[in-house]
Amino acid sequence: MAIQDEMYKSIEKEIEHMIETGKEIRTLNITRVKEVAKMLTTLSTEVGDPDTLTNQYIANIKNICNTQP
Amino acid sequence: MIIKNIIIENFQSYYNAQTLEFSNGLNLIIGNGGKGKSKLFNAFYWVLFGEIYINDTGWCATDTLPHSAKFAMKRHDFINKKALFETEEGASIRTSVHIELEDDQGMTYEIERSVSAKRLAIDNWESENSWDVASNVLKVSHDSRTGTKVKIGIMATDTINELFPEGIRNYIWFQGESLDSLINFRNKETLKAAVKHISYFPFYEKLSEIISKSKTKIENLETAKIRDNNKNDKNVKGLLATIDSLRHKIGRELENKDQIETNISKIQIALTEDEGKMSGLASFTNLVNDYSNCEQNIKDILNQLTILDDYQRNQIPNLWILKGISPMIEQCQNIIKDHTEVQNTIPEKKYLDNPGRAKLDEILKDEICFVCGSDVKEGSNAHAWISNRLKEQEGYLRELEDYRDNLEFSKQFERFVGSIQDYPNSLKISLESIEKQYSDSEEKIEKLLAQKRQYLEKKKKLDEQLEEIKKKYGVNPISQGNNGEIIASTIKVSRSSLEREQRRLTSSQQIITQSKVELKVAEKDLEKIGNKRGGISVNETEWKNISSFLEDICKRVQENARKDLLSKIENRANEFYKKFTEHDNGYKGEVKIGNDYSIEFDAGLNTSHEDRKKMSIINAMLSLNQDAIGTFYPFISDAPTSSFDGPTTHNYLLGIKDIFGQSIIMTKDINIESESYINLANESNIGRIFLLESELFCSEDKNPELHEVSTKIRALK
Repeated sequence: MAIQDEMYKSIEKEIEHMIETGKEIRTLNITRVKEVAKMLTTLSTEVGDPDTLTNQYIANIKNICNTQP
Repeated sequence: MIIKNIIIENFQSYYNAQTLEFSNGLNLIIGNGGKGKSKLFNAFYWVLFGEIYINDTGWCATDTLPHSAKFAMKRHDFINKKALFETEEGASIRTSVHIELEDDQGMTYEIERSVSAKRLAIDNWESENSWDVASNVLKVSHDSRTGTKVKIGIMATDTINELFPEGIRNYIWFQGESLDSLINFRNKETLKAAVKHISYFPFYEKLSEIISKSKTKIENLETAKIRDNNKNDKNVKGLLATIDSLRHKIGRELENKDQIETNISKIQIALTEDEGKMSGLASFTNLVNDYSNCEQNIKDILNQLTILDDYQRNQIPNLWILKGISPMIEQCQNIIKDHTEVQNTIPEKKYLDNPGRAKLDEILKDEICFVCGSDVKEGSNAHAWISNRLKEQEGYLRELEDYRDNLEFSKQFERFVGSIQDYPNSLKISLESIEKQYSDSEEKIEKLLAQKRQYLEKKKKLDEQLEEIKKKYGVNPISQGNNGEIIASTIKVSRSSLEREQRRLTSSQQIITQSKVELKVAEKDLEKIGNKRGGISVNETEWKNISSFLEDICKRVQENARKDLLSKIENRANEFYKKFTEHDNGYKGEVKIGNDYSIEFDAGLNTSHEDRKKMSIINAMLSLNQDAIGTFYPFISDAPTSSFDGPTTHNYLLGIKDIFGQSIIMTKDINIESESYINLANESNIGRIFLLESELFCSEDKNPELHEVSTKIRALK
């Protein structure tokens, strides 16, 4: 869905901007952050209310942090 | 999603089963008033939602009619009249609408809603008591991975609700009449609602909501785990308790802040509205004076007209009586005149007695005139003359005798005539005077009526100005002129409330900032303890850090997306508006949308331009949504706006034919004989064109309005 890509692009742009300005990055793994952002944009276009989707988000972030280098 | 076809059977003006096949792009339904456009629009809505549109009332469920309608519509009124008429006692008539849809995945849905009505044994087939109308039955069949599924009742309704979410319906299917409720230049909440229902922005809101809620949950998970890992460490436990408490406090305060911001927004809206009203009331003193003078003048004229009318009513009997006796008066005049003439004639004939009868007899006897000596023999001219003179004299003498015999009576009659001879003239003068007064009053009435027309015309113009003012300021300076003090006091209260809420907001923001600082300190302290021990963090710590990081980003992205969307709506709406007003000369203005969802009201525009702006905004939002989500709904509109003329409709259709994957537009403003229609029909992306006509079944002596008329569909393309 075009809106999903659009949302991700906007988030990615903000991440890049923060990296460039050196803000808040500290110990974060940027690859994982971007992967989570992608997952989040997918979730936001799925059917279901946000309360239900938070469980899916937590399961997914756990998976991303365990598997991504 | 596209609608492939619709089959309408015995529904409203559609007699028997009639089918319309649709394609992608623009599908145009042309028909003059009363030919079945609105009924077709109703058929679409009824098959999906069981409701029909009733002017000035809105959508009404046919199962609950007439209770939901303002006027007494009978339960069977939406069934075709001819079909009802032909149904015999004891038999049933069925009405149904069936549509076939294809969703974006190519899945086919067949939806049918039907109702049956049984005719009872009552002579008057139109009577409400003549029909036992059952509740409608909804059936949805659709493809699925496991084959065709058939659903009825609530399950079928659920499927339709999934296909067409409630919020979007009013924007993709609307009648011109409901346009104001969708976009109102004076109420920015309408654009906000439209953004919620027909834009992609809710995805951004959902994005932020998921990340915020997930972060809170992860924080709780992290704390629980750290607490569990450090059961015996008082310092850690203490810090965790502080962190929990601060997070709780921040969460609560954020909710409080949201509430305060909502309050502020509501107060600001109310304040802007009231200030607009005050400004409206203050700016139109002259108008109010003009209006009240105009009303007073009309009232005075009406009073004068009433007086004149009363006068005429009183005078009419007199006038009629006088008119009635007028010939008698004239007759009297003639009698008096004749009498006077006779009176004068008798003495004038006195010469007939000179010479007297004895002399004349003597001449005849002597056969010679004793004066001139002429011969008066029988047969001579003189003899004939004297004989004739004797006859005349005889008549005169008789008259004279009568006259003398009645002399006393004649004298009395003459005196009587003398005394009344002026009466007819006096009566005639009175009659003429009354007639003149009456015609004068007629003249006055005409003058007053002309003045009344002038004032009514002026009042009409003032009413139009007032309508504009109402639109712009939300206030009617005439009817609400005395509300100034109330509004001023409301403004005062609102300002004071606004100041209070702003103080509360500042305080709340300070609490949040302070708590966040304290939280950061506590978290750093915890980190320090962890560093001394070689690490206190758990897996959830990384999830939390990523989520916190993304939460901030998502909020910014959401706000940027909101502003970006409003700007895109403005740009695209202007593209459409430009197209829709292409053939107009003079000032057209442009669509201007603020970051706070406000749409600039342009007082210099007429209703037609305003409507076109509104249509441009709705169409812009739908097309942006279509681009962003990659899916479209069929856009169906009955008479998009009544203020469009022929050329505007033409441009409007050219404008929207490429916007929507499928649109079905019903309009009366196309002349199929015109050159512009031929050009339009040959345009790309115009799939189907239908003409709706009336088919009469009855003989000319019957009233076709009653039961013998049906919509006839003619496919033109």
